[in-house]
Amino acid sequence: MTVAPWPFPDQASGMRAYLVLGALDTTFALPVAFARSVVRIEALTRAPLAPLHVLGLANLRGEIVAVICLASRLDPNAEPAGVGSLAVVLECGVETLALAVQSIGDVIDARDEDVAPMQIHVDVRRAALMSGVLRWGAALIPILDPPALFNFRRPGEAA
Amino acid sequence: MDELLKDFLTESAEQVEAIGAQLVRFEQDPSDARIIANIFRLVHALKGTCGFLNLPRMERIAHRAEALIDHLRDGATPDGDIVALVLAAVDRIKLILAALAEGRGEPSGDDGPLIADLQRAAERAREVKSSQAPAVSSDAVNFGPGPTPPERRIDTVRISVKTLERLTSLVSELVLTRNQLIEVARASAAEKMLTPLQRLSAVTADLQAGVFAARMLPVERLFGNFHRLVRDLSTDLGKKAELVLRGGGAELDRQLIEAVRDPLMHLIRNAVDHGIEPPEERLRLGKPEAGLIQVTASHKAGIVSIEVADDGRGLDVDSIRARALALGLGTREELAARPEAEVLPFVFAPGFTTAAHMSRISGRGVGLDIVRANLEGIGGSVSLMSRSGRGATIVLRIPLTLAILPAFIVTAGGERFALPQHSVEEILELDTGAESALTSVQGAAVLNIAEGPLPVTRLSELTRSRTQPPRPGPAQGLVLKMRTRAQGFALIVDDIVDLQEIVLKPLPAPLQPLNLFSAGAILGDGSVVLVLDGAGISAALGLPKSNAPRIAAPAEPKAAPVRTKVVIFRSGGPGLRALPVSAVAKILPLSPDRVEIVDGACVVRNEGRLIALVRRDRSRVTDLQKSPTALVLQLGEERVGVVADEIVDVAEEEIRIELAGQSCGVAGVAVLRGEPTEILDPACFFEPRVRVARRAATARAPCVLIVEPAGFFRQMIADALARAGFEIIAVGDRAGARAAIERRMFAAALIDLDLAAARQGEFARETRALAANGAFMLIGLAAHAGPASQARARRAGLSGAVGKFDRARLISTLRSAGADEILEIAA
Repeated sequence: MTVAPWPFPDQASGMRAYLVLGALDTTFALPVAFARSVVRIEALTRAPLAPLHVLGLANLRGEIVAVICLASRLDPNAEPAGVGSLAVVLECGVETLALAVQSIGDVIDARDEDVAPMQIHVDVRRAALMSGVLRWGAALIPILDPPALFNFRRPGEAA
Repeated sequence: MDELLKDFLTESAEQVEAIGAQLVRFEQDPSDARIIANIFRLVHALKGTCGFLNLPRMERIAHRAEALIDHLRDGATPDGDIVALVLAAVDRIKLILAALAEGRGEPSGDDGPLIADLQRAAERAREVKSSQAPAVSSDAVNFGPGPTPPERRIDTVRISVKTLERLTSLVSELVLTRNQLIEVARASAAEKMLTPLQRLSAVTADLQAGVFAARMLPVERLFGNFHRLVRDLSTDLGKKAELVLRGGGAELDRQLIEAVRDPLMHLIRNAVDHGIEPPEERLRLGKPEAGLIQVTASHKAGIVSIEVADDGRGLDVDSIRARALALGLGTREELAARPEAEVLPFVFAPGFTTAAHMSRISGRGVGLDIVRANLEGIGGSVSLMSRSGRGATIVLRIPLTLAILPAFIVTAGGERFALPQHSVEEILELDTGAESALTSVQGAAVLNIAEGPLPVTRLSELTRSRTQPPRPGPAQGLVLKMRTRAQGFALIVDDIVDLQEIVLKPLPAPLQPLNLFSAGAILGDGSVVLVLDGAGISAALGLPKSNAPRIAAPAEPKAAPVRTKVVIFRSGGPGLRALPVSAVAKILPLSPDRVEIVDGACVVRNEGRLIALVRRDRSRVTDLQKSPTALVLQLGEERVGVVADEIVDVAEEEIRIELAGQSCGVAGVAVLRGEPTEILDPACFFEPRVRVARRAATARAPCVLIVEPAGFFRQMIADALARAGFEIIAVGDRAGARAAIERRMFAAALIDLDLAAARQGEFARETRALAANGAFMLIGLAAHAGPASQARARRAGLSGAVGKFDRARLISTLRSAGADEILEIAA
């Protein structure tokens, strides 16, 4: 899969926009530069043999996109999202994908110096899906790394 | 890059190819002044543009080449050296163009020697020319940039491939949206929507046709550099070869043009390299010194065939046998017993020829497996014929377009999938009763059918996720016989719900590692389906990926007590057929060179007489695809050849008819060698045909009305029936049907079952009332003609229902209706 270049911050202000979203009752931040739109999943075609976190395929205005469940991606035992859930449509390299989430919040602007590296003792598998932690007031919000999130492995391959 | 330069590059690439090709033609026929005038014009134009774009290096080369060509134009004789020199200049220009295309600007380099050679050759040509008696009058050959021709209006526009692809994808979207709208309109029965929807539908269809037409390129595009290829190769190899290109006007989708370019070049290279003999050998054999390679393109029924034929030595069958033996493709006895026609396809097996064996088996196998793989990859096929000492012919068959293909929409485990129609060989009803062909061997499911056991799997099992419990398959279902390369297998699906034209879309990245699917598609209702991949299914079954043809076990001789001697054969469709040997005058192997097409039907010449070929349902054979054998039946003076795909056996059997024949031509069904076999009635092959022949001048083909809202089905059925000899009027709705019935008489009407069943069969009543003659057969067209559809058809006042894609049943049903009419006219 082509890895998209990490969006450069706005050079002038050193600010970057994030979309806040929820999954597994946790708040996450997603760099807005990846997000194209937000849709509600109305119909889903199951993709047999695909990994658990691939919910299926959806028709997005004539384009077939894979719908990835954020919760299942983070925790294979989580209850997967389904038809009716919200999804952020992301452009990741040449690929368009939909990320199904529990909820979608605001777009926030944060300074680059508010981004800290991922904490070293976080579960390696989860940490691999995130690019850092955003210090937002008192909260620490993990920042999702879409290229890593969609990095697909063959079934059976070590995660 | 500068737009101007971009245009120049595209244009000059074409010009340079054209110069090369024209030059080789000129060398062969120097008397044709038009060719050299053309070349001059091309070089002159190239030079002019170079000056304009400030490309001095290329301009210098073009200028010198132009000067040399100018002398040729004035009557100097072109010798091989001059042609080679101009070709060298063309190659140099190509190099510079390639550098320009990479955005590097005009590269530097030393053209001194080339320019000096060009100059010397020009001087020599001038001297030769001046020493010649007044050559051709210069007026006669002055095609140069003299007086400007009257200005022509520009009637073509160059557009980029990207724009074209975008248009194609937009049109595909529009088609899908239109289909969705039609479904919505059907569900809501909004009368108001119908008229605008019909217009939308018609405009969309036209637009689609238009855009697809714009994607078509003449096959000529492929031919461009073939002359050069043959010339260079034959010079290198010290051979003489002439290339004749025909049918360049046939058109193919641009994507396909690119896909067949390499395979074609490969075949031509093979023909020169291994097919054509050296000149001395040819002379010794009494052949013309120069070998002849003919590339012929033709278009027929949605398929473009490109034939590469040479008059060289042909393939050495014994060497192929030896190589097959070495590769373990069979035992010596089996291979020796195989007829030549069955040995030749071995050359398509991968690894069949290695460099060491290349020359010994005349090398024709080199990369032929790649050629076949390429062709199969685009839904095409390749076949080979060879006559020892007389040459070989390879035919590539290519579908017209790639972007949209008909696919079965199948269901399995409650989910829908698309399966490209071309990957399905045959559809059988699954009978799970005691007589079922579905059995198991050591726990593995096997379909035990006449041609041998086939590995079989349920689609619902293949697509079941590991966390789901196994789903017991429904008692009913359909078995789809499929084939990838030489490997046959079967897939059980719950049902086929539709046959749709689908637009293939690439799979999203997370699904690309799944071999089972090759693409995705959006159906008329907007839902997404995954497109099954035949090779993936075969891999899931654990079948070898190799496409090496398998050797079938020789049929065991039959030693049963006897009554009647019958020929048991296969012909079109599942199951066995048999004809009494007493009725068969001879069994005639058919090779494409013996079959001729006369009056739209295939005939074979035998003992100085023409024998018409018919299928077992008595339809005339119009296109001989496989059918390697004809069973020639004789009745008095009349002879007719019934084509058989395969002669299974000649056996003496006790024939006990267990079921009376339902369709014309079938005497009944008997169990022969443990398998139900249709016993054909030889007399039936003559009766109507003889009478029709006598009254050929007056008898008209029965006219059939097709009422089918879906354009694709309409076209598909109309094509199939027209090919089977029916006159067809196809309409999309009731209004169209009304108008058609008022205008003329029909032998039968095929009506979309949904349309016919609407409003308690109002349509059927109206149609019958309108038709002047009572003998108007109304048949429903159903997606799948099961018992439910039959009952529904009868409720709607129709005679019955036929599956939309059950072509054979459609034709035989209509034939039983239509034959009556022919006899009536004849009487």
